[in-house]
Amino acid sequence: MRCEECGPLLADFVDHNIDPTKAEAIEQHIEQCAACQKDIKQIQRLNDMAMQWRDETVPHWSRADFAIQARSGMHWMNWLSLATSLCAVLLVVFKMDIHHDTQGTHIQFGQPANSVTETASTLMDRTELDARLDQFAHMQQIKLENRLDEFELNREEHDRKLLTAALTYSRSQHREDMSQFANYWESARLQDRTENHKAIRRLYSSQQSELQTLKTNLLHHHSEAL
Amino acid sequence: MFGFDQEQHLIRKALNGSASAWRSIVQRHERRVYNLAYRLTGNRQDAMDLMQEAFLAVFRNLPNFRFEGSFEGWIIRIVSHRGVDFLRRRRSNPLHQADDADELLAGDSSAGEAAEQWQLHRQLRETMQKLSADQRIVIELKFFQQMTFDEIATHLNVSENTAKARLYTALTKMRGAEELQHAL
Repeated sequence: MRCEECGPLLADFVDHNIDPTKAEAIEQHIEQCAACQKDIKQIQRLNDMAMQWRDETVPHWSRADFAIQARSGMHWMNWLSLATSLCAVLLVVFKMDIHHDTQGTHIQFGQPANSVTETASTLMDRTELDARLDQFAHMQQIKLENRLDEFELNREEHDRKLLTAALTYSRSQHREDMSQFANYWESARLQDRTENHKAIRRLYSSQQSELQTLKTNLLHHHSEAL
Repeated sequence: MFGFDQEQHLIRKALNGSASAWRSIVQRHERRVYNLAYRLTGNRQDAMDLMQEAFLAVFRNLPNFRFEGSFEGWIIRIVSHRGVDFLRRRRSNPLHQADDADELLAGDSSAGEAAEQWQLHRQLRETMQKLSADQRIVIELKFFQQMTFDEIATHLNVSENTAKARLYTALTKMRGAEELQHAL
């Protein structure tokens, strides 16, 4: 088997996902081929990298901005739908009657339908009206949800900014406090050191004078003995 | 744990215009998409850009999802294609600089683990930078997404042999770069 045949099969070979005959041929080839041996090591290295990989946390970003904008492009259709549905409701609720005769167009409210005039409500099929009202309710619900989401997103952003500002302020205050404490500690340390030096000098001086006195007494005593 | 039915319900709500449903879908898949983008591009800023492009593409193509097969697999397919386009665009821009991310990773990990991850990221970035966009995506799908060559071929709209050949070419390039480094 040549490298060009063996190479593309190496990944399957490492995964033990290969025909046994081919696997044997590959084994024989790689015993003598340094390049393919290196490729196998590279495959194993990539497998190890994948196993060791720990996913990073996704940074903060606006997940639904384009979703809200894209859907709000339907605005004018929503209004058209709303207007049509409102007209349908008015026609039914107020039993509006529109008829046209030789004297002109007449609009009446609350008139029952008669054999001569056609009311507007009979022109509208009841089921179609129900369907349109349902659709209207559904669209309104979605619009309301989207508005609430927008409000929630804005509130979250505002809270995040507030928290960031508070943390920044707190850190700067903390930094200032630490700096003041460090200065105080340093000055206290210097003062203690100065005091310690003085005490050591005093002790040294007193010991020197005692030693001198002792030496004088010894010499005097020695000369008297002689 | 998210069921398939729950996901279907969210997709349908998103198709009807619900932004909260769309946000839930994104939150469920963004970690995988972001890390795929990060491994492909080698830096966090590009990973963010690619992730946003990918989710925009997913959103626009959502009406084309047929509810056959895995939704996550469908997203990864879109991200893979977007990733290859993204890398090709970046490569053709000589002013584009590679990463910035020589920073130790923050988080809950210990300093030792963070250092190990930093080293791992650096090695992967060095490896991927030698490869073309087509080769990088095969490496990503094979090793980090744990796909078979059959799945890779389906995702990339190529044959299985092409996918295997691309991996082999990538290995050859990596080997060549290593030999050159040793020679130097």
